Amino acid sequence: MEDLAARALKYGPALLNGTLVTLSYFVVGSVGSLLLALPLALGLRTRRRPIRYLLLAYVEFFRNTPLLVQLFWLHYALPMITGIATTAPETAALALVLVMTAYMAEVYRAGIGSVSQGQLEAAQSLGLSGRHSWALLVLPQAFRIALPAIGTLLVALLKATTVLSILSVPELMRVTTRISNYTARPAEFYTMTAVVYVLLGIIVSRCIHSLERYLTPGPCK
Amino acid sequence: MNFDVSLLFGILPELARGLLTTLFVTTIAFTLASLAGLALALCSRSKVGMLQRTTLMIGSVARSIPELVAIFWTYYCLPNVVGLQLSGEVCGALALGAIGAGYMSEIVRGGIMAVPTGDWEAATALALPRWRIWMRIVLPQALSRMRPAILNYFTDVMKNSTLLAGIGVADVAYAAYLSGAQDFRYLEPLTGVAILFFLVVFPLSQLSRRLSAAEAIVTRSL
Repeated sequence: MEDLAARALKYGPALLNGTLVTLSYFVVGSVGSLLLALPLALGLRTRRRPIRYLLLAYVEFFRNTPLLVQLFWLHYALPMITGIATTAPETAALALVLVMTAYMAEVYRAGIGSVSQGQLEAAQSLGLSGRHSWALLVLPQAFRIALPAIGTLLVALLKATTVLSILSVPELMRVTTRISNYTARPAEFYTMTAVVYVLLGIIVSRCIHSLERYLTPGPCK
Repeated sequence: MNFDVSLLFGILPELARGLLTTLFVTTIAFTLASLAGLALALCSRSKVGMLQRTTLMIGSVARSIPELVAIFWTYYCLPNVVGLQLSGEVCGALALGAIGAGYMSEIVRGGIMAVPTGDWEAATALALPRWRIWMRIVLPQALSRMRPAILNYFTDVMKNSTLLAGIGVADVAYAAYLSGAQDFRYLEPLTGVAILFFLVVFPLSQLSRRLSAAEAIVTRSL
């Protein structure tokens, strides 16, 4: 038991560092996708067929292939086409943002789709311009409706950051693997890392849940 | 750099072997997840508060453990715990199945809860035996409602089976990467495997979307 405490003390800083790297990828992936998915979701509603099909192809391709294959492809195959080699952290950030944007656009689209048509008609009859009615009425409501799905997606993103370890990005999973190989004590470190991910996941979903309650109008708060 | 299709044909045998591994792992993991998920879902409907709370918690913990962590844990720790050496494929399938149980239990629970209470009451009023209520009335309805979610989940398992690369299992994605690494021609094998996954997963997810749209219309007209 004393050994355990000593090991925890010895490798604690490295694990904490790994956790911070994981969190920074989480922030990059979530902020990037939350922002980029909005123009994408709106673009998917365009009447211009070529643009819509192009955007749809992007969304469906990223949603229907494994993250690992995307990572490998972006890291090893893309440089053969473009001639620009990216480092593992660059590829990792790029892949996370690309794949999360595709998923997030789908969530936004569902959210927008569930705002009733009557809201737009009401806005029109009040003389609001198209842009105003979208910005003030449709999008805020859509965001609130989409929040639970966004929460699920963000937890999935947190879990997905572990895949980056296969490209040797020094996030928590990678650090854990290295320490457990070095100390030959996989049970302790992998269990601990699993607990850390579960706790982080709980924190993320709690945050989204309280945001949801904060944004819900009326007495059902 | 040109896309050399003949190179892709050259590595077809390796990819086919990898695909078999992928299918093997996916099938085992999916079956395990379905059985364990069904058991969890039934337990979570138990009237014993303790059992109900425990199974719900097991489910939500299983859903928040990253797949890769579970795979590594099973591969490196499980042999020590149970004292027998398992292959990477089996370990990976066990890990994905265990996590899948968490998702599956939620799908099954949702499906059962979507069966109207009136059906239960009607069946009870007709004095149908309990197992008959389940087999003839509740589960068939629940199953048809669960189909889209189950299909979606199946594609998730398939996509996640690529993570077995982390413990050196040569599934189709890892086989493509390895053959690319041999002569530094990554473009063809990796593009090939991406397209292969897309061709398998995309129709399934479209089918799931169709089914859930059809389901929505049925519920609205009721």
